Amino acid sequence: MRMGRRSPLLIPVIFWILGIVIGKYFCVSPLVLFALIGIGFILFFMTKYKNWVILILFLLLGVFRIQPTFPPNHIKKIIQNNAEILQPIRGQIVSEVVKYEKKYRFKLALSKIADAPVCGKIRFSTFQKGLKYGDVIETVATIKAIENNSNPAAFNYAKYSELQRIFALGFAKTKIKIIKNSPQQFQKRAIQIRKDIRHRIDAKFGEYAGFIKAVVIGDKNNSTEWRELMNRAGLSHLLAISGLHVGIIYLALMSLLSAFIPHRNFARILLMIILVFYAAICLWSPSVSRAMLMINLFLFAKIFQRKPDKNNILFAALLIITAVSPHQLFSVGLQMSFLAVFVMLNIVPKISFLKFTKDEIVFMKFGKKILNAACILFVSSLILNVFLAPIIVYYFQCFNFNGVVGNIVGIPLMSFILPVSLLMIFLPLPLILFLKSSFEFLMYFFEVWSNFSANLPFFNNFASINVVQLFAVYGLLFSVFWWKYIRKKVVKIILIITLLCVFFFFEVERQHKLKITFFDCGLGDLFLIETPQNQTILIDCGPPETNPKYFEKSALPYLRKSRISSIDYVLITHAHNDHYGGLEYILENLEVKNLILTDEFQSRKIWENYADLIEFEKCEIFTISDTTHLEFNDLKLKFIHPDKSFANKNINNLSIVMRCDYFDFSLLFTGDLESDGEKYLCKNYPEFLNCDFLKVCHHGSATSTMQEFVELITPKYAFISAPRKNRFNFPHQKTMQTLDFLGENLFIEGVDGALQIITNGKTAKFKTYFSKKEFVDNNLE
Amino acid sequence: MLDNLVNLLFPKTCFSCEIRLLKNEKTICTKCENSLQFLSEMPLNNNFHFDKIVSLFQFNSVSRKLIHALKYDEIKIISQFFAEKFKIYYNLNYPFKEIDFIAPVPLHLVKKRDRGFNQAEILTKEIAKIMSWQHIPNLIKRTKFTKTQTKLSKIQREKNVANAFKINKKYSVVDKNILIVDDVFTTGSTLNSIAKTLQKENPKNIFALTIMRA
Repeated sequence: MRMGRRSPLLIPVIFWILGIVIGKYFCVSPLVLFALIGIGFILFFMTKYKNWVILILFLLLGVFRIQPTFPPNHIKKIIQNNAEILQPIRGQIVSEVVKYEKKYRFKLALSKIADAPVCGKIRFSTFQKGLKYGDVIETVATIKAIENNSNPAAFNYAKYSELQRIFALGFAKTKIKIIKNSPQQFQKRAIQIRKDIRHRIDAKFGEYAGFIKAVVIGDKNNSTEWRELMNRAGLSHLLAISGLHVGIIYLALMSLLSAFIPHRNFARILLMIILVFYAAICLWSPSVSRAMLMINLFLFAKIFQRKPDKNNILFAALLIITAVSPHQLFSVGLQMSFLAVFVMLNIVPKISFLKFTKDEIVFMKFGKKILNAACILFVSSLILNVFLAPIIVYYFQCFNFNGVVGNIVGIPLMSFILPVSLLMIFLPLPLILFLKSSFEFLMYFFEVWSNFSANLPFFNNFASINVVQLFAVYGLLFSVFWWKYIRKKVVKIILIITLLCVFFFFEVERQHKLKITFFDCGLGDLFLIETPQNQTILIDCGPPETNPKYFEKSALPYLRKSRISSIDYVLITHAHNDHYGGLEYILENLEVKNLILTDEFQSRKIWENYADLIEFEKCEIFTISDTTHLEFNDLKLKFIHPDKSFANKNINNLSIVMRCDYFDFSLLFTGDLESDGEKYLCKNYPEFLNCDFLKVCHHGSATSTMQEFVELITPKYAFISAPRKNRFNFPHQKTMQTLDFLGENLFIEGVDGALQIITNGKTAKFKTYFSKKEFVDNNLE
Repeated sequence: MLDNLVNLLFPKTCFSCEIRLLKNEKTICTKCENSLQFLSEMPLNNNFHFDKIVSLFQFNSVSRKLIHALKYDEIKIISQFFAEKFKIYYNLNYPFKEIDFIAPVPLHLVKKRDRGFNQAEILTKEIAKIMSWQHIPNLIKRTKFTKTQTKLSKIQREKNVANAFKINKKYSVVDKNILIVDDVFTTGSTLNSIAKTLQKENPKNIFALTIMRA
C-alpha cells in the first residue's frame, strides 16, 4: 500500500485498535491470550511471514491491553453485590478538587473499606474545604452505584463514567481526616498551576472568565451558556481545547523561544517539556494529549533530521494514548479528534484548487491572500463537517453545518483571542490595561459572530443513524475520496451499491409497528404513541422544569433518536402541572399539530401562558367534552371521559380517559382519575373498559383503582407512573394489593424505569429500561 | 535500538518525492538523484567581478525541494549530500585552483536569528570538511538589512544588495584564492556585490559556487 510505505505504523496501529475493540466486546481468557502471544513471539523468529506475525501480535496485544481484569476486591465487584455501602473508607485523591454548587468533587482511588483492602476509583463529593490532589483521606462515606439512566436513548452516565474508570459514587457527611499529603510531584504541581491560572482568569477577565477558562485550561464548569451558543453555531471545537489551540500556543511559544535561544534544538526540547506540562495542566484530555504528542513527535523528527510523515505521527500518537489508557478509544472526544485530524491530513489536501506553493502565495496581492485564506477555511471546514457529521449524528443526534460559515471568521478570531488572553494571564495587572480593550473588542466581535452563526439555518437537532449506517456512510465517504485507489470499475460499483443498500436497508427497517413508550419522568405522566404510519401522539407532558427528569431529560433524547421533531397530537389529560409541565418546552422546541384538552384546562388562569405559544404554533385544539374517537388506520383512539353530564370538584376526576385499540391489543390511559370518575365510568361505559393494558390511575394512589373498576378492565399488564421515593409515597399499599394478581406484569416507574411496548396487534414485546426486563407476549387473546 | 525506533516513527523518505528510501539510498531516491545532472560552467560577461562561477545543478523540482528542505525545514544533512556531489564534480572538472578560504554568503544577524542558521554556512562547513579547505564563516559581513529578493526584478535586486557587505578586517585576503558559496544563483547580484567588495582587498582569485542555477 502506498500509505503504508511511508507510514510504517499505520497498519500495525490499525490492528492494535482492532485488538482493543475485540478485547472490549469479547472476553478471552487471559491464559489463552498469554499463550497466543507467546506463540506469536516464537513464530516471529521462525517463519518467513514476519510481517503477518507482527500484525497478529499487535492485535493480540491490543486484546490483552483492554481485557477487563477486575480483582475480586475491586469496587465494581463490591458494588454489584451491595447496592449501597456506609462504611469507614480510606483512599487517595487522584484528580483536581473542583467546587461545584457548594460541593467539592474529586476522584478517589480507594484503598480500604472497613479495613479490608479494595481497589478502583470512585467519584467523591463532600462539603469539606481544604482537600488537595494527592491527599490520602479517611472518612465514613456512603458509596453507591452510578445510576443507569432509565429512559430509552438517554445519556448513559454509568457507561460514560466507566470509560473514565469510575465505578461508583461516594459521599461523606462526616468530617474527612487527611492522613498524609503527597510529595510535590509532577501532576500535583500541574494542578496547582491550573488552580493559579484559574484564579488569575477569574481576577482579570470578568464576564468572559468562563469562556477563557474553557479555552485555556479546558475547565468547562462555568461556560454552559457559551457552550450552548457555540454548539448551535457549529463552533464548539473552538470552546474545547483542540489541536488548533495547542498549535497556536506552539507557534507563539516557538517564535518567543527562538528569539531568545539561538540553539534551536535546545529551544525545541524546552518547548517539548512545556507542552507536556501544558497537557498535564489540561488534565490530559484526549485532544490536548493528541495535539501535544503530535507536535512533540514533529519536534523529535526535527531533532533527528527527518521529514516526518504526518499520518505516521498521528498513528503513533493514537498508539501512545491507547496504550496508556485503552478505554479512551471509546470516548467521543478521542474519536472525533483523530477523525478530524485524519481528514485534515488526507482528504482536505486532495481538493486541488487549495494547493498553492509557498512561492505562489508570496506573489499574491493582499486582498487575494485574504480571499484565498477564507476560501481554504471554508472548503476545509466544509469537508471536515461532512466527515464529522455522521459521528456527531450518531452520538449527539444533531446535525450542524452552521460551522462551515462560522469557521471563516471564528478561527482567525480565535487565533487572535488566544495569544492575547495568554498574555493577559501571565502579564502583571498594570501592563494588561491596554490589552484589555483590544481583548474586549475581539470578544465582542466573536460573540456577535457566534450569534450570527448560531442563527444560520443549517441545523437539525433530530437526526439519528445506527452503528451499521455509520460505518456504511464512512465507507461511502472514504471510497468517494479515495476513488482512484480502487483499481477495478466493477469493484467501485459493487462497493457503492452495497454501501447504499446497507444504509437504506436500516432506514426501511424502522419497523411498521405500534410503539408505546412510558417514559420515566419522575412524578408525572409522559407517554408517547407512535403509530405504524409514523404519526405521533404524546399523552401528557411530564412534570415542570424543576424536576430533574422533566421532558428535556427524559423524553427528548428518545424523540431525537427517533427523529420525531413534530408531534401530531398532544393530549393533556387534566390541568395539573405534573401532566402539562413540559408543554411550554414542547411548544417552543417541537412542532405540535393538534392539541387535545379538557374544557377545564382552558378555563384556568395558567392557560393564558400557553395561548400565545399555541397561536404562534398554529395548532388546532380539540376539546374533549363528550365521548368521541380518532382513527389512525388500524389504530383507534376512543375518548370515554369526561363527558358533559359528569361534574366534579376534583380536577383529577375530570381527566381524559382514552382507550386505544390496535387489532387484539388494547390499552387504557386514565390520567389521574379517582374513585368518583371510576364509578361513573363503571356505571356508564362498562363495555369500553375491558383492556389488556392499564395505565393505573393517579400514580397508584389509594384514592383510585377501585376493585370494581379493575374487575371490569381485567388488565393483563399495568403501569404505575410513580417514581422511587416520592413525597406522596405512591404507589399506595391498597392499590398494590388490588393489582397484586398481575405479579410480574405490573410495571412501576420507580422500579422498572421507562417501559416500551412494541406490538403488531397480535404479539407484543415489552422492554423496561432500568430493570432491563424484556419479554414477548405471543398470545394477546 | 534507538535508531530502529526512530526509523519506525520517522521512516527515512526521499526529501524530494517523499517515497520510502531503500537501504542503500541515503538522502534521496535513485530516481530523483538521476534527475540531478551537473551543469557546465557558465560563461561570464564583464559585469561580473568574480573570476569563475560554478553551479552544480539546474533549478528543477527536485533541486528546489532539496534546497527548501535545507532552508525552511532545517534538514541540515542535505548539505552533506551536496558536499559529496561537489566533491564528485570537483574531481571530474577541476574547476578551481587551490582554494585558500571558503566563505558563505552571510545572512543578516536578524534574519539568522529568525531562521536559526545560515544555509550557505552549513554548506560551506560541509564542503570545507570534505575538501579540507579552510573555512571562514565570518569572512563577509552583511551590514544592511535587505529585503527578500524573491519578488524583485534584476535591477531592483542589484540596487537592493549594493553596498550591503563588508569584509572582516581580521583576515587578510591579499593574494588568496577565495570561494564564496550560496544556495541559489538567480541573477548573481548578491554574489556580484560581495565580489565587488572583496576585490578592493586584492585577492588573487574570487570564485563562486552555488548549488542551483535558476
